[in-house]
Amino acid sequence: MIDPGLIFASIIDGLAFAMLLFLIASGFSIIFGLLGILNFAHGAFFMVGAYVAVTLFEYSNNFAVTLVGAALFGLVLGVAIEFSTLRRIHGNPIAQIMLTLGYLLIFSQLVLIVWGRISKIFYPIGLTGSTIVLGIRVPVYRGFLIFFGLVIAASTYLFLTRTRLGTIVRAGTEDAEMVEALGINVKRAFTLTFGLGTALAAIGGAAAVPWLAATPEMGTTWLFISLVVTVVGGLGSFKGSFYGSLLIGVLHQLSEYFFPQLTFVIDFVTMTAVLLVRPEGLFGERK
Amino acid sequence: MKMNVKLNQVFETLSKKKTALATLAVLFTFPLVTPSRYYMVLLAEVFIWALLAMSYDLVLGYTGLVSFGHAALFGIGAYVSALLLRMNFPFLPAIFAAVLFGAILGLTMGIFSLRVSAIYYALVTLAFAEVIFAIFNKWVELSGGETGLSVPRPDFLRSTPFLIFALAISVAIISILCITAVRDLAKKGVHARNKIVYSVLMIGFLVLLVCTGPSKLHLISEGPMKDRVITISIMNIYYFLALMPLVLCYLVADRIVNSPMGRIFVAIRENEERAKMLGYDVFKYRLISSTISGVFAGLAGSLYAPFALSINPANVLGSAVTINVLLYSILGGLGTLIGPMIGAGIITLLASELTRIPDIGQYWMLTLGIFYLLVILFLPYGIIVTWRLKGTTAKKTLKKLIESIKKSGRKEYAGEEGTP
Repeated sequence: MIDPGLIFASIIDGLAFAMLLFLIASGFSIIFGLLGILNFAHGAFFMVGAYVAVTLFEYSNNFAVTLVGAALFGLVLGVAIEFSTLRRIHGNPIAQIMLTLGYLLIFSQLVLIVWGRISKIFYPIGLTGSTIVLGIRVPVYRGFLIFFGLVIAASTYLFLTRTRLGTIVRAGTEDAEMVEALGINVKRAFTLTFGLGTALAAIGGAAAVPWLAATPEMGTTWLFISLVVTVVGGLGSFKGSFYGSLLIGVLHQLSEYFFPQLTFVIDFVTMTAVLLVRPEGLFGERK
Repeated sequence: MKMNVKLNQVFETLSKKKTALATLAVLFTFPLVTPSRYYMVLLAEVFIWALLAMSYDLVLGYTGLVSFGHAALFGIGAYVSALLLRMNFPFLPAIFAAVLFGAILGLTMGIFSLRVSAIYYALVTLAFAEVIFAIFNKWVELSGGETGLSVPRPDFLRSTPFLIFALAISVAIISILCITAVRDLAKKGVHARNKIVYSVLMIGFLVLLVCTGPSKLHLISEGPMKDRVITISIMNIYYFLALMPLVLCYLVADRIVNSPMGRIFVAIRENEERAKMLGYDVFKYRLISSTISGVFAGLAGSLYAPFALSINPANVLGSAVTINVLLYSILGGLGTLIGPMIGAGIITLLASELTRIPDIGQYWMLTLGIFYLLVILFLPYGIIVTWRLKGTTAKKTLKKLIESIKKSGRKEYAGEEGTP
């Protein structure tokens, strides 16, 4: 007999997990949509964000400062990487994959060297402990994650739809050459988008630490999950990455509760099924 | 007389492939010359990775299928041969079974390419490999889980006939090299300086062989009596056991990519739509390419299992294997067959040398990462391809430039048409 309370708890967990997924997958998806880069370093950015947050929290002891700091760090890192290296090999997809793989390797090693092999965790004041919701004990931090993720999702959505840069990003996703022909500096938009995606991943990493801790392996694990999410939602689609995150997040946590051995298998089987039935993803556009 | 003419032709062809022949001769005589067991073990490992890298080049470099699931092919090969060896099967049937499984898996992965394209294919194959990895990782009774599965050394590695066979091949290759060299020296029209360099190299090589070879042979022939000597000869055997399939597979693969079928692979890589328009069944050729690749990868895996003595899901099926192979291929140069092998050699040797340095040795991965970045940024087509591009003479380059200027108008049009 399956306990309904357990299902409720796992769905709450799933929603919180989905928000973290959304933070990493939306950046991945936007970057793919505009720049056409399958960014294998995205998991590494998530991880670096987590570790930077650990250090920031150690010094500031303030969660808000930590989140903002991690996001800024991600932004600067992304802009620097795009500007210094990725830009040079634009239009060579294999070299791009290789380059981002190289960054994944480098950051995984750097993290090991700087922060060591032991996983790190911190507990933000006021967000620890748990409350009772509908008779079920729910950790406060999960609730905070859901709230925080929704806020970021809404503001990113507003940024994409209501600002000039957001419009350029959306137009560039459709047809970058056409946007360039209109006299818009697409290259600058590329750099900023890459920075934005990296910042989203970094803030996701920072937000993940109090729940899941920062570990040296999280770079590849989260890369794989975000790949699954983006493919299920549709590569390049912002909306797709949101709904894809919800679907995979909840599925992932449900399977973690009920079939802990098969978590990754279920993720990847979902992805393969979606790909075989609807290759462009649930919200992707057929090209 | 007729025989003689034929022989002449054979040596004529061989003399054109002197570099390849010399490389083979060096590789086959290396165990006789080297004092170090360490390098022999290392090189045997290099050969296995080179075989895997070559198999990957067939799909990625020639057919343009970006597969991220190559580890599955290798890992299945390794596990099939490991499990059969543990059941006391002879080694050869175990290899055949591994190759068969590799081929089936390669075929299965090829089938995915029917439904999805390019970047999605990469993701589906990645997912496929991850699922296989997850199954093996959780099914501890089958795979040994994280502690791994110990693999017994196949019986015939303990016998000497194989080693004698390998040595006979070495001797044959060296004699062919010598005969070719002597014939070249006797030929007119070879520059005197080249002749001198050539003969000095040959004589040096032979002297080295004569001086060091017999002492090694002596050790081997005394073999079965002493433990220490047994291990030396086993490693000798392993070296040849990895080298011979590599050479054989390279010859087969080289034949394949230079055959009409290989041209179709390249046509599909360059422009799928046009290949389709010309009436080629793109899906069929992708299946073939993926299956052949599975055969070679499965073979590499089956050789790896008894070499490593212990395998676990992470080191034969994990995504790290795929990433490594991708790096070998890109570093060496895609679509060259030989490039990925050289890439495998460089990275494996570099890794083992760097990790041996005390203190900073543990940072070798970081060094490697930075090295990759530099290679990708400055040699985006890999070492071999870049070298070949640079290797053309100035005159040819000039000619090409003039031609390209002449054709530039047409080319632009072709480019327009080519973009989807």
